[in-house]
Amino acid sequence: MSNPFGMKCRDVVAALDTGEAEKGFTRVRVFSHLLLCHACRMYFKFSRFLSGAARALGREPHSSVDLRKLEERLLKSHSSEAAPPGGRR
Amino acid sequence: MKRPAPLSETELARLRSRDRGTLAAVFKEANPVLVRVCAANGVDGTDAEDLIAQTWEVFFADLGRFEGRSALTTFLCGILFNKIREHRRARGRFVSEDDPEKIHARPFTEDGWWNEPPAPPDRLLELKDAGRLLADCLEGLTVPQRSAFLLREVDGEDAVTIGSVLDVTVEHLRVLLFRAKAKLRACLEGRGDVV
Repeated sequence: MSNPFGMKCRDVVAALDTGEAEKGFTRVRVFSHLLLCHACRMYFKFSRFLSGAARALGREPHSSVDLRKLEERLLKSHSSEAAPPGGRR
Repeated sequence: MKRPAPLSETELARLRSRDRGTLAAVFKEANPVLVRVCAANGVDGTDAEDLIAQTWEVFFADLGRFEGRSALTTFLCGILFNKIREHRRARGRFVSEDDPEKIHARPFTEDGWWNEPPAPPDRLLELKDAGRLLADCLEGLTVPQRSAFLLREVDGEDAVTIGSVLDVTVEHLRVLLFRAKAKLRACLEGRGDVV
């Protein structure tokens, strides 16, 4: 495995994991490395799969916390106005 | 993934005046993230609600210091993590925060090349309902690993932000994320729900 643009596999993996691979010239360096390195390409493929699965988890938290009740509680504590009758929603 | 933007001067002024509509909007944006951080740290139900309420108390008490340069949720997560630490301390629930380095096989040589190249993820790509399986597998991560993974992959936070929220260096964060992914891969591959 050659070393295009001075990036080693460990650096490429770190850049992919932390999101640095999406920025500026690092993006070019990482993708140049990926073109030449099968192992890192497999890691990239796996990372993309995992990101997709994480997004499928959705942005809604898996929790028993009642967000609406919490919001009302917080508005009651911190809002400069009294709650309107019947709430906002 | 889109990162939350810092607040504008106008939004900040409305927040400082405790404008009800503005507060409702920021609660709606930030609370799901805070709840997820609590859940990732093993705090749920009324405990989570109380910690989030305390987080907002601190935030509003200290609102003068918040200049809107950092994203609101990032700022709040920093406060919440301190609250979670206090909560754990009070409950005597301090556990090992991460696996010791030595029990993990080293994935890279001293020179930075793969020791054991990763296998093609072809079987994983055929997993049915990967999101649900991932949710189960996340239970097997340590709290810092889970928090780091969720903040990175679900909330799209960058490394510096996550490092400051979790109070770890970026170098440590890389280790957390790499190990989290390795554990998730092992878990997902072991599920057998493959087509």
